[in-house]
Amino acid sequence: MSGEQQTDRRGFLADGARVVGVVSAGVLGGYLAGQRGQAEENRWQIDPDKCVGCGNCATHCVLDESAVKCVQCFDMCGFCNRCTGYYTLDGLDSRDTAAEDLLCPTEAIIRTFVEGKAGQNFYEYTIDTDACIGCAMCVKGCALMNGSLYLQVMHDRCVNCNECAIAVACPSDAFVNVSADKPYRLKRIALGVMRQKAGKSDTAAQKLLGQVHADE
Amino acid sequence: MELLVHYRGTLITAVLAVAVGLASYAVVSSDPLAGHRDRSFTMDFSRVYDVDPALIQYEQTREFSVSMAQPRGISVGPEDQIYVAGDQTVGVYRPDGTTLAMIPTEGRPSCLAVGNDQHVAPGHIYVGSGNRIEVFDDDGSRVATWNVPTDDAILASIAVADESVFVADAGNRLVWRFDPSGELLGTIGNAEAGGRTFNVPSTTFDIAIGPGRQLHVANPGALRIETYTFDGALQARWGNPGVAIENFFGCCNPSQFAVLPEGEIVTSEKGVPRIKVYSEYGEFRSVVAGPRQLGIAQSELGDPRPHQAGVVFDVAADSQGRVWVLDPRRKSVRVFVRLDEHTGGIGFQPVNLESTGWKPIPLSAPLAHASRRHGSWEEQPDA
Repeated sequence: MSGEQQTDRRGFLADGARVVGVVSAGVLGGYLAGQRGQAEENRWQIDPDKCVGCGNCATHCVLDESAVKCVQCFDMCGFCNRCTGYYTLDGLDSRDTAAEDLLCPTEAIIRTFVEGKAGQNFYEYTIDTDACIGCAMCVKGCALMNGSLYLQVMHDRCVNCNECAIAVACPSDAFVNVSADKPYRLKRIALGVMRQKAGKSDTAAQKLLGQVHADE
Repeated sequence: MELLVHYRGTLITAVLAVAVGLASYAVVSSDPLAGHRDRSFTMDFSRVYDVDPALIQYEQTREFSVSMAQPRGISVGPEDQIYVAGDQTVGVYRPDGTTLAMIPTEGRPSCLAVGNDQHVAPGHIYVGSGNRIEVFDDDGSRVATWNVPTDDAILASIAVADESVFVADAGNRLVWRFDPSGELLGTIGNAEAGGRTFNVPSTTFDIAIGPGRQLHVANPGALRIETYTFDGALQARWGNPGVAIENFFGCCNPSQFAVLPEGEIVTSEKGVPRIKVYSEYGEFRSVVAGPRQLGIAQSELGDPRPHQAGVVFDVAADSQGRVWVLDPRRKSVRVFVRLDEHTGGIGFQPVNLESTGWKPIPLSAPLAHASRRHGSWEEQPDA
């Protein structure tokens, strides 16, 4: 009788261990699968080295106000007085801030005096994202010089459509899928600059590199 | 008549219905923004793209490939041999395009210069890459390598005088002066040493030696060219910002320039690529090539992609006054010759400078202004 009880207890423990093992393996497998699934979640983004600044981002987004906005890479900007991304060709000569002399149709570029040095005035150009419509006028103007202004899909606004309407309309295949945990991209030249800075223990550059998709 | 009176209400309703229908159709089918749609987010570059043909005084006579993926700089050496730096090599060519040598370099060159007959070592090749200058003798053997004494250098240009080698550093916004053995003799524009700071918004920052033993320096952010003694004293400056052909376009030009035998200066601009000739004192003379002559389509202006936006045409001049243009897109060297010399044709037509708004910059007033605002100027001897 007691022998049968000992055998049953041993069997019970063995069965229990098997069940626990199977459940643990299942949980671990499910967890890993879930993690893998999360890592592969993608977002739409613009490869700034492929963008031609056609203006479709302003008109083809399914949102009333496009999720694509202009961004400024300050490490590429010359902080110029005569900014080709800020002024129209006429405005470059007059440097009048009347609306017709500004390139941006919504006056989304904010020009702020920074300093005067060596007889030159330097200005910082930032983007009012609420006003920006992603038309890329400034991107084309800036491309005449340093090219520090470029477009990015803003993921606090983008609804991440399965088929992005702008990507379909993009004439240069500039829309790419990137990982959801690093959904922004730098221009390749800016990536090089940031890597140089990060190599010299620049913490801001290191932090930025940790936030952007850096495949080349 | 009675019928009309009887159905008057119905008729009026029908007429009104047709009128409303027609009006609705007209509104729906019309597109008041149709004329603007194509232009909504486009920029019109025709004003800067088309150059008055009367101003173009040069013609391309030859072109040869340089067999490099990324040609970066061009220079003319003794006997008008052409030197092109790019990839990890320096190509040496006869003026007819025959390849004489391909000299391997350690770094990826960004600029080069070759000692002319006035240099203590004629034919020596100075190649800048990273923060290092590699020196080769006239048969391509490595002579020396020396470093610019800073880590964050971006070497943009080299100019070789009799016993000096000047190196323009866009990273530190100054010009280093070395002797031919690499010993540092001084700097120009070093803010920390009390000098003046050049405004260098990008990596283009060109220098060249003038025939009167002067150093010409492009101050691209100020959109002008400045002339210094070898000791760093400012002698002259000229250049006006503006879209018009006689001015320097954008926020940082001229990106490259070279000095012709008689001291005239050939400038090359980026953004809207155009190559022009000015007198030594900055008077606009003529156009070598506009965007069209350089093979740039109007639709390519403002294209933000790197292979379009990053195009910078380096220029060099030989003893015969020919202009050598390094085309980074076609990976070739293009030779431009003055029309009157090439064809015996139309000759030089002086430009009416007043009509273009050009006024030579009086030296005294701006210099006095500069010395008041920037104490460093007062420490430099007046030219």
